[in-house]
Amino acid sequence: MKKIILYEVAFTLVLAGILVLFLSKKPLNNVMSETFRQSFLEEESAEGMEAWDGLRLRRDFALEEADYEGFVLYGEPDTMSVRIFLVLKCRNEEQTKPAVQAFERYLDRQKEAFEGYGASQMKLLEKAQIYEKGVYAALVIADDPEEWIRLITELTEG
Amino acid sequence: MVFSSLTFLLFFLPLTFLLYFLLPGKLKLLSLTVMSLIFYAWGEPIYVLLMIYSISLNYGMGRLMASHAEAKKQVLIFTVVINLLMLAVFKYTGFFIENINGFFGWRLRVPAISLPIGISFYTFQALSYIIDLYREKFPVQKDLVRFACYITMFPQLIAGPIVRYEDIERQLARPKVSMVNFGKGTMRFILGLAKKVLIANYIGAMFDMLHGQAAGSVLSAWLMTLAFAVQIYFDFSGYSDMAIGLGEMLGFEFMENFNYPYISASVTEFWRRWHISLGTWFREYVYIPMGGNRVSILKHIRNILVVWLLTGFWHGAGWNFIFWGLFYAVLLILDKYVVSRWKLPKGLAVLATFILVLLGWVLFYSDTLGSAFSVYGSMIGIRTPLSDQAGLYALSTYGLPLVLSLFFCLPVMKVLKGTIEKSVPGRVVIYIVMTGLFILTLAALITESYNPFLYFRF
Repeated sequence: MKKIILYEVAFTLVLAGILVLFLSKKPLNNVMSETFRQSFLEEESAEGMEAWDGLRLRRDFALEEADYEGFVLYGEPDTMSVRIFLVLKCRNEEQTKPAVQAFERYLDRQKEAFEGYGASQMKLLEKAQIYEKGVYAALVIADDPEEWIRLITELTEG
Repeated sequence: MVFSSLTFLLFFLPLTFLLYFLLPGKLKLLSLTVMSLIFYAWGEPIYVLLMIYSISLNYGMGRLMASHAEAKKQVLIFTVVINLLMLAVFKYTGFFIENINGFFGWRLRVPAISLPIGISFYTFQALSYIIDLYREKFPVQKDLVRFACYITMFPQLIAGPIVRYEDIERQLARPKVSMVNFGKGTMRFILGLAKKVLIANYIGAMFDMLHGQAAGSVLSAWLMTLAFAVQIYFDFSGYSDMAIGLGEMLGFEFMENFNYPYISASVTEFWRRWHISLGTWFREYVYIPMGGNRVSILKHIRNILVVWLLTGFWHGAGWNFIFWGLFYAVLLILDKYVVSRWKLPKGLAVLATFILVLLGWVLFYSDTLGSAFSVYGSMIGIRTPLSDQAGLYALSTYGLPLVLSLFFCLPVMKVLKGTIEKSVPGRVVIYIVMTGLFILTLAALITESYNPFLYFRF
């Protein structure tokens, strides 16, 4: 009987430890696409950028709008511009990694396209940043990508 | 990792087979266990901790139960409570806290825990082991590798079928590995993959399109619900076919999970044909221990309500799932005590059952009860036009595939296959068709974006 109680206590303590480990994770904020959009538009550096729809998401990233909880995609109308602000809110964390891979493939294609003649575009593409946390994935190609990544981080983790 | 991903098909599966078939004796199961843990850890490695804990708990307490007959009830209660606690914390904490916050106006923090994939399935498997061990249906499993293999086996790990230990105990000791089983399993796997990739994903796009438009007409609301019915059937039964096929390839025979549910002539029959392993589990471990139908009418009604409340809640931490479960409880009670006395023509009974199932799916796919009632309103034309642009577009684009998909819900192909495969040329034709189907599916996968299985979220 003593042995049983000992085992029960041990299993309870281990479970308690596992629960503490999981529950102590700081939760990400539940940020809606609209919040990202508004915060982004308040940024000075967003000037000249226009909102793109799900067709663009499919064409450029092979991602289906309906598969995700929401997205915000801004770019410049000029075809020679590479600036992009994209935040994707996935339905679950399993979707985040494939989304990031889609961003990386997009970056590679853009680099292939501009390599050799688009020095300014290449400069932006080289310092592009990808954000990945929980159900959020983001791609920022900008003059100062850290600034926009900071904005995303503040909204999701702040 | 999902079965319908290229990583799984082109890398994980060949490597798993290579190890499994080349390694001798006990190492086979060890390799399968390790590969299953890698499969599970692919998306969210940290949750493997929880699975290892579940294996240790149920294996260890099972051993204790066997060696301490005088305290086996105490061991059973402890193990069941801990298993359910694990499920409750990881699956329902958010739901409970949100409801408490809403009810009392509090602002309790909702912890940042996401649902560990497959937890509902493997916890139920573990429970079947410990409860049946208590009932002395089989001897305790002393081999840790075999037990771990039972809990982790990747084909059925994430979305079932829920395999009861009783059904697989002997197979764990001696898997029936053979070329014939491997061939049969491969065919079953390809069929499941095609169901998922070619039908469920395609019709799923129709559902997503209409769902995004919030059912603006009678036509849209019905088409959307029909599309969901087709999508969830081919998605989930496709996954089950893949799981059963993979099991067969590895020498294991899992129970069937679907048997053409949409041809059911009553709701009771529907649940004998839909997600059979879950129904069997609840019948075996909840309904029958409560007395089943061998009790007074009132108690029987209570039993049905409890089982279906739990079935709904098992599917998800949301009021829509609870109401979905209760919806079926009411239908099953009516079926048992009222409708079964009527003599409806078979065709009419099948149609009526299908319509009731469709109404149930509205609760299932709606995020809130409000949106479910809004769809019901649209279905009967309350302040909604008969048709709209989205509905007509969906009908013209997806109408034919939808009708074809509904045709595949009937057992016609099964009968046809059964007739053709009796002759050698017929079997050759089947192999050619299956190879073509596999190539077509792979081609679709390469161009497709990420599409998880619907039942992963449970």
